[in-house]
Amino acid sequence: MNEIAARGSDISSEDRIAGALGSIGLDGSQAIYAFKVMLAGGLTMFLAFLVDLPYTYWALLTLPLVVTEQSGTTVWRSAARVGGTLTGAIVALAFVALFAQNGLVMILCLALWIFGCGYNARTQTGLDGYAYGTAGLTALVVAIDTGPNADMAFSYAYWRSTETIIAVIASFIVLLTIFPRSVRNEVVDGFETARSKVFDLVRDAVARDEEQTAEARLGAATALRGLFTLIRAQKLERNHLGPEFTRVRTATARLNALYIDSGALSVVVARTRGHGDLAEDVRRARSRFAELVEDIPSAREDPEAVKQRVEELRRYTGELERSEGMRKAALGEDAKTRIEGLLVYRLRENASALASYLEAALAVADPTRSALPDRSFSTRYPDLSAAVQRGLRPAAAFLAMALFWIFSAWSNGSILALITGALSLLIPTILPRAALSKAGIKIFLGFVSGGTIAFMMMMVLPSVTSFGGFLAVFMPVIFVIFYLCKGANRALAIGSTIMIAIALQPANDQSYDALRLFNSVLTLTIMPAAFISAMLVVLPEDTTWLRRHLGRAGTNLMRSAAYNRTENEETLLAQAIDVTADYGGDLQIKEPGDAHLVSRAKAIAHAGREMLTVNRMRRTGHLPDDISALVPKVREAIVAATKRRIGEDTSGELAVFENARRSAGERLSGFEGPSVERTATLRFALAMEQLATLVVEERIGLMKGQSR
Amino acid sequence: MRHEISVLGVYAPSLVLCAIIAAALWFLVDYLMLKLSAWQLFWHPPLARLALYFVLFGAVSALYPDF
Repeated sequence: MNEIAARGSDISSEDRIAGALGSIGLDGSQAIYAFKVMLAGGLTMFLAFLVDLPYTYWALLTLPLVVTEQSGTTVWRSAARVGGTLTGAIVALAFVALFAQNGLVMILCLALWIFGCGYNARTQTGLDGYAYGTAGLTALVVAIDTGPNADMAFSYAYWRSTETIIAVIASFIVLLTIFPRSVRNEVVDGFETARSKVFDLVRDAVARDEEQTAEARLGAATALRGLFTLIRAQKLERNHLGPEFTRVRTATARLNALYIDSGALSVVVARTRGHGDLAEDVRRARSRFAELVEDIPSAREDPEAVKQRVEELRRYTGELERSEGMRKAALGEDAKTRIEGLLVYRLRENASALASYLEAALAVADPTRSALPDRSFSTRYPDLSAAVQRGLRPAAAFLAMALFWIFSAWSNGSILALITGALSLLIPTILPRAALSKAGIKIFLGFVSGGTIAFMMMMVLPSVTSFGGFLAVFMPVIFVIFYLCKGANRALAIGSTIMIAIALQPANDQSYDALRLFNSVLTLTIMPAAFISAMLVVLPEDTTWLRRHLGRAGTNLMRSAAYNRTENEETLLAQAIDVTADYGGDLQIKEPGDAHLVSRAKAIAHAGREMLTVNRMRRTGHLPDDISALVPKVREAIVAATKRRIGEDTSGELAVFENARRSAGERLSGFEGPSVERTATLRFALAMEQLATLVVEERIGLMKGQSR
Repeated sequence: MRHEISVLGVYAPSLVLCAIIAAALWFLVDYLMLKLSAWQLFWHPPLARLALYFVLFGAVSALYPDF
């Protein structure tokens, strides 16, 4: 990663041009981006006219959806677009073959297909969801364009695919060769931000007596969640091969583990406050770790210093393991001794996680070092209820508009049904949730401005006699749209381009139809209202929805980990971070209830991790039989505790953990079995003490009114 | 070279087939070039990669059998 940073730090010619444009008052990088989109638009039209496409507007529609600032994201979106288009075309052919003569059945099948696409899109990370969105859109377009003329279906499918591919090729040629902007810098910045936020959390946990704030936790989770998507986008750039991406992924996974560990340390440190001064050896261990986490050098700038820090951390963990500190948690009679033992254990775990991360960072900075073991894991939390709702919204919007079209016999109703269904399926796959409610309004404004532009172009273009003249009118329009609509206003650019494409429908014969423009404007202006209704009326993802889903996600993650249904530890941590950032990111974090839900997700990741360890020791036979027999009750108790309201009586669950810890402690004193069993028994006792602490501190329960 | 080929009854430019074959070849050559870090020898690697595609496309089109 740091090696990447070194390469990315050179001042490129693009930066120089952006600087020069900046000096004359333009937003340099945005102007370069708009210039590239303009060239891609011109090339798209050239290729479309060259092969004499019957409907050029489809290629033009594809353009605003695939052009992005970064090469990797453009490739990802384009690949998703092409894959989705081909899949959608095949499905549409099957529907037409089966139901072409029965309009109502066809519409029901299409609604079902849209539902399936929306459902699957919600289960994907990054831009993979866009492929499902496009599959739904293409099936709609081909099936609705075909209507009862089944013999035309293959032609439509072929044309739609060709038109999409032409826009993708034009985008590739321009955006990937003229000032290509790699995702590399975003990956470097994202990694640096995540690293710095997680290190701050660790420092705060060990050095301060106050607990981490929910804002700090959410900030780190958001930075970590975005990293996996960026890494994937960079991989798709195919700038080089080799193990770098795996190494960065491994480093990110280890940063995830450190993030979760820091939360557990913070809880235990906060718990020690109520027990007076720490024992001298525990206080020393804490101060020593506080020193070790200060001023950690960068693996690229000073690898030797990092190697030395790793050795110090390993020495430190070895000292803690040899000390009696951790055994206190299992054998201690009084609460103070046990919490001190638990603190030593948490210090050891944090030091070990930090050393593991630093080793991974060294492997990234120095490709000659051997790669560390890497396991595949799923980063997306499978929220099936959210997926069903994501599918229902576009399906319901499409059905409503399609029924309106059929029963009103309005000729343009098909376009309305198509665009409403397609956009309410597609837009959520490319825009963040917070932007969705405003996206409908921005698309509407885009339609209005696009309609006006199309009207003016329609007056000018009939007097243009050459393709060069056409481009002289068309390309500046694209430049201005994409220069003005940046960031959250991208929906405005999408709306404008869609309106220009549909209303103008540029063609080789230069025939423009003012009536078509009027009808398109009239039809499409109804769409935003339908889109907003689909987003805000049909099961809206508002604050209440987010709270409900974050609460349930925590409980489900705990249940999966407790009953050993989680794929592996990395999956649990990544999914906990996913829900924290995805749902928590749009909550009002200043609200105590919302802050608690965010902190709870982190605490549950930690408790779940402890349960995965216990399950693993049980499965491998390392736990003695009598201790192993306690695990089912522990599972029930921890899952029950996650469903409890704060303030409710948790003595039943605490008794289970206390009994399990005590049994393990008794087993440990005078243990004469194999050392692996002794270690596992100690680990089990520590896990029980940790779970009890989380329950006593009310970290994994829910506040009043929160969903279980 | 025939200008059009029939894909299940729909006539498509035969250049589409050439483009697909060229793309497959491009992935192969590009992989080798990446493996050898050979793209770094060029002034503007993305432009060189694009040029490679056009070269392959031209070659496939020239060698396309006239059946």
